[in-house]
Amino acid sequence: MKTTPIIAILSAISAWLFPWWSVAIAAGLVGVIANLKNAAIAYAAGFAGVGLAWSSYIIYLNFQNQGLLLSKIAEAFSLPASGYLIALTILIGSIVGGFGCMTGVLLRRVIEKGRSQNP
Amino acid sequence: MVKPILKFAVSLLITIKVIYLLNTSPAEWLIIGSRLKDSPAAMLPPVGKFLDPFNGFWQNAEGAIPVLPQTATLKELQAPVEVVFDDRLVPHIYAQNEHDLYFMQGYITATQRLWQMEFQTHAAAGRISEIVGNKAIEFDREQRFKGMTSSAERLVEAMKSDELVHSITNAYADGVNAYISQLSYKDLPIEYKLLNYQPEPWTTVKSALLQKKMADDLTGNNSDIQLSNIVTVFGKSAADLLYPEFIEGQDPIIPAGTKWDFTPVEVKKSNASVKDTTKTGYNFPLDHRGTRLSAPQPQTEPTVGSNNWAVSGSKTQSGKPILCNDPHLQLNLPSIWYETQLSAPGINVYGVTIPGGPGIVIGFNENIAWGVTNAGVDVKDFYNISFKDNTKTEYRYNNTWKASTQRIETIKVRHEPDVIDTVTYTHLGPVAFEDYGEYKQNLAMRWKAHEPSNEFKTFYLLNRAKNYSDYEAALAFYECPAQNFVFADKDGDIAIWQQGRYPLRYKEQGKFILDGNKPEDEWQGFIPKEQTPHIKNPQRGFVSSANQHPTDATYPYYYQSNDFEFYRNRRINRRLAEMNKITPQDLQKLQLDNYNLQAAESLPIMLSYLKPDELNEVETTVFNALQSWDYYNDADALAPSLYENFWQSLLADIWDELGNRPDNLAMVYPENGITIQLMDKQPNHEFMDNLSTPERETLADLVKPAYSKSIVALAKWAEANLKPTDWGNFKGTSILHLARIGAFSKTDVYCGGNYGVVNATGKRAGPSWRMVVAFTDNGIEAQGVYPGGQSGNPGSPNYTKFVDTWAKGEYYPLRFVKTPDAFKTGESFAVQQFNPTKN
Repeated sequence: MKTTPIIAILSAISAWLFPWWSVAIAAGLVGVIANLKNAAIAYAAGFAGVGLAWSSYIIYLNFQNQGLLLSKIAEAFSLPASGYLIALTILIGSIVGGFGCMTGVLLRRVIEKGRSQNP
Repeated sequence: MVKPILKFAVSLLITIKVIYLLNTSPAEWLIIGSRLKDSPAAMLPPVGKFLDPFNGFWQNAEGAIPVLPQTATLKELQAPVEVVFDDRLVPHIYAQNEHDLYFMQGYITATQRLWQMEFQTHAAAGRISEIVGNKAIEFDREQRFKGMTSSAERLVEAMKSDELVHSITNAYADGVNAYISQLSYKDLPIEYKLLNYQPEPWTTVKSALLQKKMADDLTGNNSDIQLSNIVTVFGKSAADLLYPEFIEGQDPIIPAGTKWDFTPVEVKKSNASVKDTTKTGYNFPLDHRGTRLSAPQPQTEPTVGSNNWAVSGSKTQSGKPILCNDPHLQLNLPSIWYETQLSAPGINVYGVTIPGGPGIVIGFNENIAWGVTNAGVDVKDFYNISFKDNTKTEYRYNNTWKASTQRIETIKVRHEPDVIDTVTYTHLGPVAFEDYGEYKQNLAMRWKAHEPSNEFKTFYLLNRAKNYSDYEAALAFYECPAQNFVFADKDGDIAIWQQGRYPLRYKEQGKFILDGNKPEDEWQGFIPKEQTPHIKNPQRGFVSSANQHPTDATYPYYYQSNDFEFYRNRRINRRLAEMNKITPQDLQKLQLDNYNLQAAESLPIMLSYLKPDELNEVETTVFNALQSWDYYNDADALAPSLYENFWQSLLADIWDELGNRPDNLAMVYPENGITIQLMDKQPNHEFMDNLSTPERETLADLVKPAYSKSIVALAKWAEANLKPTDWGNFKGTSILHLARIGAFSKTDVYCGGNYGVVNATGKRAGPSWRMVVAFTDNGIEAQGVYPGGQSGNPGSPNYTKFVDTWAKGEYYPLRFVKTPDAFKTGESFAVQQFNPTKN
C-alpha cells in the first residue's frame, strides 16, 4: 500500500498551508486518483495516512517541548492522562482523513460509471 | 448510476458534517448549542481546529530557546532596529530614534505578552463577560460603575495636548498592531485558542485603561462605608479608638521631627458630617457588597504593599549608593512585569515595564536608579446623593436641583444577549452604588483616578533623568496612584518623594460618607506638589518606605488611609540604621528578611494568658515551640504556622463585633498594630466581650479557647492536605493564571515570609519584582528576579522559569549592555534585525 504514505505527505502539506480540515480534501484527492478496491479500504488508507502525518508531527512537537503544554492542556480538559489527548488528536485527524479518502473513492466510482455509460 | 451518486453524496455529507462539528465550538452547534448554556461543554473550543497539530494548540508548545527570525521587515519603522534577546529572554532594544524605540517596545512586548495585555485591559474596561460568559457579569458591572473606561477616554483626550506623550503612546500602539496584523490562528497565544476568541486592535485607550487599572489596584481600596457603619453602630469614640489618625510608635517615611519649610495652603473648616454624638452619626448602615462579586480577577488582597530604600555612600562598602525595591502585588501568571532594556539616542534604561504601556516603570539608567512603593493615602470619597425622582436625572446640590448625565453601558456576554445598564454621573463622579442596601442609598464616587493625569510623561522623563533635579521635574507630572519614589544617583544623592495629587481636606473629611448636597464637603483644592512629603540626603544615610504613614503628626495637612503599614517599615529602618559597610548582598538579605515583628510584639502578650497547668500534652508542646521561636517566618519552621493560626483565631474572637455580623453590615478590622496595643493596654475593654455569650469576657477569657481551637484547626489542615504543617507548606504561595485557568497556574510555591514581614510573601501576594541596584566605579551593577518568566506562553519553559530562583531567594545579574555587539558569548539567545521597507 503506497497510498497511506502519499496521503500522509499530502495531508501534511495541505494542513501546513490551509485550514486543518483541508486534510480531508488531500485524502479525497488521493482517493480519486489511486485505484483503491473499495470504500472500506479507502477509509482505512485515509485514516492511517492522516493519522501517520499527525502522530509523527505531534511526537516531534511534544519532544521539543518535553510534554509541558500537552500535560497542561490535558489537565485543563480534565483528562486523566496526557495520552488521551494524543489519542484524541490522532483520532480526529484519522476520522476526517478516512471520510475524505472514502468520499474520494466514491467520487471516482461516479466518474467511472459516467464514463462507462457514455463512451 | 443512481446508486454510486447516492453513496458518494452520503459520504460527502457525513464528511462535511464531521468537519462542521469539529470546526465549531459546541456552543455554536445548531439546536444542541443553545441547550449547553452553562455546562463546561459550552466553553469548549472547536475541537478539530484546536487539536490540529499544524495550527492548533500544539503550535504553542515551544522549545526552551524560541525560534526567532534573524531579520524581519516592519514598514512602519523609520530606521533599522536591533533587538538582542539575552539568556533570560530579556529584550534589549537598540533603536535610532524615539518613534522606533517605542514602536519596537510595543511590538516585542506583544510577541511575548499579547494575551495578557489585552485581557488586563478587558478586565479594567469590564469586558470579561465577552470572553468567559455570564459568570463575569457582576465583575464587569462593577468596573463600569467605577467609571474605568470613561476616565481612560478622558486621559487619552488629555494626552492629545501633550505632543510627546501622544506620539509615544501611538508609536507603542502601532507596534502592538504591527504584530497583531501578522497573526493567523496558528500564531495566536494559547488562551485565544482555548477560549476561542480573537485579539482586537490595540489602542491608546487600552494603555490608558492599564494606567487606570493600576490606580484602581493601588487606590481602589476604601473603607468609607465600613467606617460609617462603625460610627453608626458603635459611636464616634469607638471609631477614634480603633481607626486613629496615627498609631503610637509609628516610624514614618519622613523621619519624625523633620521640619516643614513651607507655608501651607489654608484649608476651610466644615460642619463635619459626623458629630460626636454616639450612635447617631448615621442612620443608613450599608450591608456587605463584596460577597456579590464573582470576579475572575478577585479583589486585591490586603497584603499588597511594597518596600523600597536607598542607602547613601556613607553607609556602603563601595562608598556609592545602593537602591532597592520590591513591589508586593497579587502574584499572577503571566507576571505583571516584563523586563526590558530600551536604548536610543538620549536614552538607555533597564528595568521592568507593565505590558501595555510605554517606557520603564521601575529601573535604572547610567545615571540614576528609582523604585516605587504605594502611598496608600485615600483619594476616593463617597457622597450620599438624593435624587428628585426615580429617573435620577436631577439630584440635590446646595439645596437646589442639579442635572445628572447618564452613560449607557452595554456588557456583551458570550453566547447570550447583551446586558444593558445605565450609570448616572453627578458633578462629583459616577453613582457607583445605586439603590443600595435597606435604605436605597445612592453613593457618588469622587476619585482622583477619574481625572486625567500624565503619568506616562513621568516615566518618559525618569527613564532619561540624569540627576536629582531631573527626577524632581519628572515627578511633577505624576498624580495617581500616589507612590513613594525612591531615588539614587551616581553622584551620591539619595532621596524619597511621596508624589501624588492629594485633596486638601478638613480633619476627617472623606473618612466617612460625605453629603453630596453640601458644597463644603467637596474637595477644596489640592496640596501643592512641592509640599508633598519628601526628603533628600537625610542625616541617617538612608531613605526608605514600606507603605507606612508618610509623616508624623506635625505635617500640616490632614490625610488618611485604611491600611498604613506598622511592621515592615520599622524592621527595615531598624536594620538599615544598624547596618554599615553595606554591600548589595546585605541588602538582598534584607529584602528576604523573614523577621516577624508583629509576632514579636503580640505573641508574648498572647502566651502570658496561657497557664501551663491548664494545657494538655499537645498544647504544652505547641506552647514550648512558640516560646522558643526566634520570630523568623522561615519556610521550614513550624512556629510561624502555629502563631498565624493562633493569631487569626484570637483576632476573629476579639472582633466578633465586626466580622460575621448577623445583620450583615459591612465593617473592617482595625490594623493589627491597633489590636495588639489594645490587647496590651486595655485587655478588659468592652470590645473583648464575646457578644454571643451572656458573660462579660475579657482578653484573658478569649486566649485559651482561641489557642486550643487553632491547634485543632492546624491538625485538621495537616490531615486534609496530607502535608506537614511547616510554614512553607501551610502558607502555600499561589501564582495564579490571570483567567484562573488552573493548569496554567503554579500553586504551593514553598517559601517563607508573610504580610507584615519584610519578605512580604503571602498566600496570593508578594514581592512581584526584587531589584538591587548598586552604583560602582565601573558603572551599574544590578540584580533582580520576579516570580514568573519573560514568556507569556504557558506552553513555553520560559513561562515560569524564574519562579524557583525567586522562591529560593536568589537573584539574576541584570545585563545592562550599552550596544548590541557588547554581549559576551553565552549571554544572548538571539539577535534580531528589523528593517523598514526599502522603496
